[in-house]
Amino acid sequence: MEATQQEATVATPAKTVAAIDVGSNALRMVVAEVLPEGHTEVLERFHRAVRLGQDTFRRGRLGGQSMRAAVGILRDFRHRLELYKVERLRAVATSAVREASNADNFLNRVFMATGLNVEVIATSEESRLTVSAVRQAMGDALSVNRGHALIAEAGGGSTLLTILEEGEIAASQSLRLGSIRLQETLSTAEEGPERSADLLRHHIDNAMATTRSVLPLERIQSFVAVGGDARFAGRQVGRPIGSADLYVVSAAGLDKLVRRCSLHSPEELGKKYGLPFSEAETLVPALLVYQCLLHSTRAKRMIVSHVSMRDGLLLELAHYVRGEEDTALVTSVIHSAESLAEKYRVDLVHARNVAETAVRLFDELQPDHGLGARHRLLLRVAGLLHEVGSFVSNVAHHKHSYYLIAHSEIFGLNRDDTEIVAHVARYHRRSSPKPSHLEYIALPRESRMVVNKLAAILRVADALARTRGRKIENLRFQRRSDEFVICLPGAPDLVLERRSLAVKGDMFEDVYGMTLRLEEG
Amino acid sequence: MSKIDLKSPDLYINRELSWLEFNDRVMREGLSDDVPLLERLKFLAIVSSNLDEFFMIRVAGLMQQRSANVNRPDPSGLSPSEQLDAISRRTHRMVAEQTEGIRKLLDLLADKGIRVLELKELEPQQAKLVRQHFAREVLPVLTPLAAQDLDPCPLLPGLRLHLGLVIRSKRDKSAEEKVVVVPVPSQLSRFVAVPADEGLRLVRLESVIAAGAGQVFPGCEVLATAFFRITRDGNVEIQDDDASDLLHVVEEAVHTRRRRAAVRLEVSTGADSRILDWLTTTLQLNPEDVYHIDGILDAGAFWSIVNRPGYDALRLPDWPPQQPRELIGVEDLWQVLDERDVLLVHPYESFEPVVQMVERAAEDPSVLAIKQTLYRTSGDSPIVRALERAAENGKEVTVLVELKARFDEARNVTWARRLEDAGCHVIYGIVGFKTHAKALLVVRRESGRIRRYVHLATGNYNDRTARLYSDVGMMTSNREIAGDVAAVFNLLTGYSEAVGWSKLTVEPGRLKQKFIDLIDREIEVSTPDRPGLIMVKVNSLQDRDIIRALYRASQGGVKVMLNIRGICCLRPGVAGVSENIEVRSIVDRYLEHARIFYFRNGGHEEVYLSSADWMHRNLERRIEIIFPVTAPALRRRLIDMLKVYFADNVKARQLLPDGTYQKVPRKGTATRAQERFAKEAAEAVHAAQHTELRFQPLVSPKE
Repeated sequence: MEATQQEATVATPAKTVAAIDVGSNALRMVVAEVLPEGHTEVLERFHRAVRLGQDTFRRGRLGGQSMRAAVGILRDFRHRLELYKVERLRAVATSAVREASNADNFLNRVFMATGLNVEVIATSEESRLTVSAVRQAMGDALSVNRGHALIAEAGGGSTLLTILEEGEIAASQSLRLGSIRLQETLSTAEEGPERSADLLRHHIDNAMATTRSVLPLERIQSFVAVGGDARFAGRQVGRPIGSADLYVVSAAGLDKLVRRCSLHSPEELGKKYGLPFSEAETLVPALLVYQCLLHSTRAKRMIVSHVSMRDGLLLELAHYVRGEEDTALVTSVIHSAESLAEKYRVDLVHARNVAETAVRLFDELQPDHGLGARHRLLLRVAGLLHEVGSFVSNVAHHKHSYYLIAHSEIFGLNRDDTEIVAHVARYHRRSSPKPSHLEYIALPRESRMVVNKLAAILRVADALARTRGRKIENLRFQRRSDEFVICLPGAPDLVLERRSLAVKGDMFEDVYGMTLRLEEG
Repeated sequence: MSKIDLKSPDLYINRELSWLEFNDRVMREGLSDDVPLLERLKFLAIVSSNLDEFFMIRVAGLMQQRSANVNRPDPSGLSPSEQLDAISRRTHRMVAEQTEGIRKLLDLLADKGIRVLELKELEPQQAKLVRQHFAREVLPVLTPLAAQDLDPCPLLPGLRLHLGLVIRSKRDKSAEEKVVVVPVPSQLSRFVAVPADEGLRLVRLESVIAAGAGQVFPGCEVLATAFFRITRDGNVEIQDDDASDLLHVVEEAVHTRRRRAAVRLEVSTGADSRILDWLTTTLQLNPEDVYHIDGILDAGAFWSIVNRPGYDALRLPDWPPQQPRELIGVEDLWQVLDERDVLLVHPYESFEPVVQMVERAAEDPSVLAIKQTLYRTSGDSPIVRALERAAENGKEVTVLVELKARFDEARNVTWARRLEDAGCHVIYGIVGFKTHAKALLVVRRESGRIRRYVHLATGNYNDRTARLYSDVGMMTSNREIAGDVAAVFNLLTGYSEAVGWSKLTVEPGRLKQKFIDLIDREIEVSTPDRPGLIMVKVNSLQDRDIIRALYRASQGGVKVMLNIRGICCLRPGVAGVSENIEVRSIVDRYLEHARIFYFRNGGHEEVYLSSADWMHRNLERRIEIIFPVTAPALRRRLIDMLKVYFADNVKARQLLPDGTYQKVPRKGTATRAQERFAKEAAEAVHAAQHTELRFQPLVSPKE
C-alpha cells in the first residue's frame, strides 16, 4: 500500500506551522503543513547540537559561546521559516534556559537577532506536550491507555514522569535528574567509564527513592520511554512494533545494553555506534535513568515511542490554525481542573452545573464578546474551580479561590491562562474589579478585558444555579432590544435565582450593555 | 562440520588483479571480430586510458606503501610488493596483446580506407606537404629541453608523449653526446591528415617531429631517437581540515600533481640505451616498471580517429536516446509526479527530462527552492545554466559541488565560481567525506500547498556521460523520500545534523549496515523449499564485510546472482562457501553503471537503487544514498531488467573460481542486454505514436 504515497493531490490550501525547541543539548525545529483534511505532514526536521545545559547546570548561567551559537542557529532556522512562509510558530525553551540566571538576556538577544519570541515553559507543560504526542501516536497500542502507565523522558536537565490512569493524566513530576546535569553535578568526566557509571547509578537510586514515595511506581503496568537515548536503546536492543514507530525493549535487553555501554567512554561510544559526541555523552546517564525507572515498576519491558515534545507542539499548532478545539487538550485540562476541585472538596455537581451553564451563555454571547475556544475553556475551568476557596474559609472564599488557583498547576494551562482563571473565579461574587485590586491592575489590559467578560458570565451562571442539585437544562435565550432574556423551562420557582441575579447581574449589564431578565418556561 | 574461516585469504581475489581482468575484458571487445572496427579501436584506446588512471592511483599507492615499508597483506594475502610484481607481469602481458591487436586492427582499417602511414610510405608530394606542415605549424611550438645538462632535471610532465634524442655537435665529433628532450605538443592533433586521392591517410605527429629533429637543433647531429611517456603518482592528499579553503586547496593540488614521483615509463621498443639509462636513473624506476612498446605509444590518442565524422559502416548502428516510456505524451511533469513515480533508464531513454526538470523549475514562479548535488558535470552543461538562471530568478538554489572528484577538479572550480556569482548557495562538500550521492529536490508551492519533487539516480548529473553510461534514475513526489532528501541537503549544508531517516540510507557507517541487514534478512527467511534470492548489479564488489555476508548467504542456501562490471574480490564457486554465488560481468558499448539491488524477502520483494558501489570507500568514506523503489510497476521493471542482465549470452562473461573470466556459453537464442534495452525503448515510443495515430479524430469530409 505504501507504494505510491504521493503528496495529496487535492489542492486545498494548507497552513505551514513550525515548532522550535531550545533544549539542553540541542536546538531543534520541525516544519509541517497542516492539511485541511485534518492531518499534519512534516516537511523538514532540523537538529543542531549546542550544549546550553552544560553551562546552566554547572555555573547557573548560559555561557557566551553557546549563546552565540544558539543565536546563529536560530537565525538559520528563521531563514527556513521564511522559505516556507510559516504562518504559525511556537518556540519554547526548557530547563537549560529556564534555570539560567541570565535567561532574559539570552531571550532578548534571540529576539533582537531573529525576531523569534522564545517562550520558557514549565516542566508540567513539557510533559503535557510530550504526553499528548505519545497518546496521539500510540492510540490504544500496547494497552498504555488501560491501567496505570508511566511515560518518562530523560532529558538533559530533568527527567519528566507522567502517570496515566485509564489513559488520563493522573500525576506528573519532574526530577532534577538529567543526563547532562548528572554529568555536570557529579563531574564524572575524570573517572573511568565503569566507575563513573557506578557513581551515576548510586545517585539516581537515591533520587528515585524519594520519587517512589510520591508516585505509585509499583502500580505501573506499562512503561513508555521517550527521547533520543531511549530511541537509541530501541534501535540497538529493541524489537520494532507494527507501523507505529515503536520499539519494545525487554528489561534484560536494557540491562545488557547498559552494561555494554558503561564499559566505554563517550568517545568510544561515539565511534562504536556512529553517534556525535553530544549524543554519546548523555547516553549512559540517560540509559541508567530508564533502567532504574523500569525496575521500579511492574512493567517487564520498556516501550520506546519515537515522538517528542515537538510533536506535541505541532498537534497544538495544528488545532490552532484549523481554529478547532483540541479535544485532547480540553479533556486533559478539564480532568486536571476536576482533580484540583476534588482536592479542595468542591461540590462537583454544582461546579459542573455552573461551568456548563457558563459555557452555554458564552456561546450565546459569542458576537458580543468575540472571544475564542481557548477563553471558553478558561471560563469552564473557572466554573469548575470558583469555589475552591471555601476549603480555606467560607469568609471571602472568592479571595481564597484566587490564590489557590493562581498557585496551582493545571495541566495544559500556562501561567497567564491560570492567572486569568484565578481572576475570573475571584470575581464570581461580591465586588467587581476595582483599581485598588493590585493583582487585577497588574494584568495586561487585554487580559483584564477577558477577565471582565468571563467573570460577568460566570456570575450569571452561578446565580442561575442557586438551587443546588437542580440541573439546568434546555436554557433558551432571547434578545429584546436592550434586554437579554434567559428562559428556564420547567423551573417551578425562580425566586432564589431572581434574587441572586439582582445582586450578581450588575457586572453583566456593565460589560455587555444589556439588562438581564429571567423567565420561566 | 568444521567451520570455514571466511577471512581466509584463499577466499578473496586481489583487488588490483581483478581490476586488470576487467581491463582485459575491455580489451577482448577491442580484439573481437564481432565488433565493428572503429568500435574496436575505441575499446583499445580505453584500455590505455584506464591503465593510465590505474597506474596514477592504484600502482602509485602501492609503491608508496612499499617504500614506506608497509607490508600488511591485503585480504587475499599479498603484500604490496607481491601485488606490484603481479601487476607488472599481468600488465606487460596485456600491453603486448593490446599492441599486437592494434597492429592487426590498423591493417584491417587500412583495407577500409583508414591508413596510418610511416613517413617512408608517403608519396614524394605528400612528404613535401608534411615537411611544410612541420615547418609552419609544428616547429614554432616545440620547446626542446637540454635535459641532461640541467640539474635538477627539468620536470617532464606525466602522460605526455616525449621525443628523446641523443645529439652531438656536427663540427666537433669529439664533443660530448647529449640527451635532449622534445615534448610532443599536446595542443596539436596526434595524427596529421595527408591529402590523398581516396580514403584517409594519416601520419603520426611524433614521427613528423622525429624526422624534423635536425631543424630543432641546428648544427647538431641526431644520433638516436626514442619516444617515451611517463606516468606519475596522481594521488593528492587533499587536506581539507579547513573546508572554507577547499577551493584553494584543490587549485593547488591540480598544479602539484604534475611533479609527483614517476610510477611507469612507456618507451618505444629498441630505444637507444643512452636515452633509456638516463630516463630510468632520473625517474628512479625499476626495469619492471618500464614498458617497451613495439608500436604506437599512448593508444588513447586513437580517440581522435574514433571521433572523426564519417565511416559509419565501421561503427555500431546508432541507438538514439528515446523519450522515456513513462513520460510519453506527458506535458506537465509535476502533475504526473503527483500521481506516480517515474523510472528513467539511461542511455536508452533520454536524460533530457532530468535536464528539463531543472530548467522548468528555474522558470516556474511557483518554485521556491532547488537543491542539487553535482559531482562530475561539465561547466557548460544545461543544468548548470538552469541553476544559474534559477538563482537569478530569485529562487533559493543550493548546489553541492564535489570538488574532490578526482581528475575533474580543475574543471569543477571554474563553474563552481560561476554559480556562486549568480547567487547560488554553493557548498564544496563536507570535511572528510566525498559526496557521491546524486539527488535533486524541487520545492514548489502550489495552490497553497508545499510540494516537493525529487530525482534520485545511480549516475551523475552529466548530460554527456548520460549518453554513454547505463544508469537508472527515479522521479518521485513521495513525501517521505522528499523529506529525507531535504534532510540530506540540510546535513550537507550544515543546517542540521542527521535527524533520522524514513526511506533513505545516507550516512557513512549506516550504508554498509543496511546492505548487511538486507543480506542477513534474506538468510533468515530462506528455507530449503523457498530459497532466498539476491540479485545485485554493481560496478565493483570489494568490501570485505559485504563479501563475508554474501558467503554466509550462500552457506545459508540463498542464491546470489551478482552482475559486476569491474572489480570483484569475491571468489565464487568455492565448495562450502560460495557455490550458490554466480558472478557475471557485462562489457558492451555503454559503460554499465547502474547499481540495482534485489532481495526476494520471502515473496515481499524489495528493490533498491544506490549511488554506492560495494567498495569500502563508498560505504565508509562517502555520502551516498540507498533508496527503495516501492511502486510495483517500477519494481517489476527493474527486476525484469536484472533478469535480462543475467540472460545475456552475447556480451556477458562469468567469473571462474580461479579469478579469470570466461564467456557465458550460448544456449538457445542470443540475448544481448544492452541491445534488448535499446530495442524496448524504441518500441515503446513507436507503439505510443502508433496508438496516437489511431485515435486521431476524424475530419468531416465536407468539401
